Amino acid sequence: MNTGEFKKLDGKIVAVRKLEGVITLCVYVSMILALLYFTITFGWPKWILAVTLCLAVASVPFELYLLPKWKYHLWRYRLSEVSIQIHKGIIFRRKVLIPMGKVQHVEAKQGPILKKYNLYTVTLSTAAGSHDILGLAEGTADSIRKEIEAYARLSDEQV
Amino acid sequence: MNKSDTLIKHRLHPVSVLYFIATAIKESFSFIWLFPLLVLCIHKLGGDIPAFLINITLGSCLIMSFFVIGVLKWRSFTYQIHEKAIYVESGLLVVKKRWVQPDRIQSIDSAIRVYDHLFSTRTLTIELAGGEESGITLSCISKEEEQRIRTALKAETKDRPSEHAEDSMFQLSKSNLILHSLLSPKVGIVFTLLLLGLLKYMDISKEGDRDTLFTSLSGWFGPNWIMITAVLMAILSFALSLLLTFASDFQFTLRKNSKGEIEIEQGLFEKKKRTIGQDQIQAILIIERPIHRFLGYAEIKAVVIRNRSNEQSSKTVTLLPFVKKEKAESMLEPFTGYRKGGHLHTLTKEAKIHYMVMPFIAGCLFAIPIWLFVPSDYHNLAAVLPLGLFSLGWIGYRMIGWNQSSRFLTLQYGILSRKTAIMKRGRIQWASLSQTFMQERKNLASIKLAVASGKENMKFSISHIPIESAADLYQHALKTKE
Repeated sequence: MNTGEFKKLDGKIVAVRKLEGVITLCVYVSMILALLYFTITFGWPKWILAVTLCLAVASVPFELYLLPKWKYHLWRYRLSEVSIQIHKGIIFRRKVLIPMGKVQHVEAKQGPILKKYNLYTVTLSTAAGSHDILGLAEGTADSIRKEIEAYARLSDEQV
Repeated sequence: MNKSDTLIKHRLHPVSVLYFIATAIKESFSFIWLFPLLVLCIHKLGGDIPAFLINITLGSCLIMSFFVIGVLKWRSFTYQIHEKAIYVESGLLVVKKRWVQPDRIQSIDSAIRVYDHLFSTRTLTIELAGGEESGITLSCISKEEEQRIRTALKAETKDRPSEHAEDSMFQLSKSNLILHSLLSPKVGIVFTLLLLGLLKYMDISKEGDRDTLFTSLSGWFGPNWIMITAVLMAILSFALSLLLTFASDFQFTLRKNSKGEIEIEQGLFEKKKRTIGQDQIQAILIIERPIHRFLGYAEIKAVVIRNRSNEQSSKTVTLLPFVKKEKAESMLEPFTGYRKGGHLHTLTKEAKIHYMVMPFIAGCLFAIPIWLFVPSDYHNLAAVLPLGLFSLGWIGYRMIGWNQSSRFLTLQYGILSRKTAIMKRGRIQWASLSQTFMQERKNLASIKLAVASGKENMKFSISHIPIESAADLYQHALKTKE
């Protein structure tokens, strides 16, 4: 059981987030192209295009380098016999504490991007919503899932 | 129970066909767009067929199909009462067979709807724990049948001795109900609707009609007709609000039965009776609206796990709609087992910057465009914005309070209405502690605690409290034993 210290996510998550950043930038580019079309065809004010372009350009270093790096450094999780703790957030630092007895079920899932890097997202569901631990290696995700399942015993009064 | 009874497959009262028709209409909402499409298609393809004929034919077919589906659903819905369970079979194409056993039941609620009065019947809703569709509704059954089902299902419920074995009871008196109605937000809503109706009338009516109405009013009430009309509208609003409040809360009775469950009965035309087990209560919420607080009244709600699709949206159940605050607090523990913390901790002066200074600065920033763009006669109003936000922040700052005892956690918050949430140790599903850079510099933090409520969750949060207290509350969530 990996109790005590906080653990970081798998290092490959930085690459995943960079790839997500590229997709986000593609969306920005298509928005800019649409705005360019509207500006030329319907004579929309040019400042809308200019402001959007500036914001998109300014977001490039954040999407491709800074946010993936910061998120990787700030995201932590800790698993103990009594609780699961997650630390996250860049500007709003957030600590989430889920008592182990409140976990109703655990799910490991993998989207197309995570599949490329062989990573998993572990979702912890409670009676009041769910929390994700995104970007764990297959072995880690599996062992975490098993550990949580072993400790999360739902008693009648705990709901 | 008679042995032969257990073998009989009971059907609901034939009038419950109406209930099944209503259910069928509700279920068809996602396909209802097909109807105008069909009308359009036939109209295009049919050529000479008049539109009204198509509408009438298809409309009749639709009504007939709903009726047929209703009858078939009624025919397919059967139940058997066994000694310690009931067996329900339902479904038209996919037949559902469900065994309802006492240990799976969350609550058994009954309601006497308007049409039930005509046939001396009632509607019973059995709420079960878990599963996607966890409510079974037995529409239009007799009182005797209800008793038989309740007896069969309660035969094996956990018969825990209650701390207060004697039946405790609270009934909302008529005078309190009238006062509750007068102070209810419904009065304001009805008054606004009436006013909007009058404005709309002014907008759409021709000059002549308008003159006729206002001339008639001035003719009836004399020179002060505007004032008298306003007073009459206020009286009408109150009367309508009274009717609505009577319809929902008439003879509101809260009772604790010998099993320790809370039973709530209410309603004038539609009498509802619901049972809430103490295990279902996740938190208690005391709400004091501004005028209520001034007069010393409060409303108490319970955050309850609901497992019924039509009640997912309401996260709380009203336990006491209108009661003196002292009485409410004294009744809270005997009825629910919850107790409000005595002394509440208040915010430190470091939090003032977040509650008062920041809203004041934001108000100043918003006031600039208002000052610039609003016509000169009114732009002085911009000064109200920062002062208003500052005052609201000050009220919010004074309202925050928290207390943590060995069994309960009390959070108090709000701006205009004061809300007090009481949670039991072990009911908190998760806790979140957040801190911004500004809060970090002042050693402050915000805390959010979630409890279960149906498929949704109910979150309670207080912001900008000292980090030590926030950490204490955060760790409190870990203590799972009550």
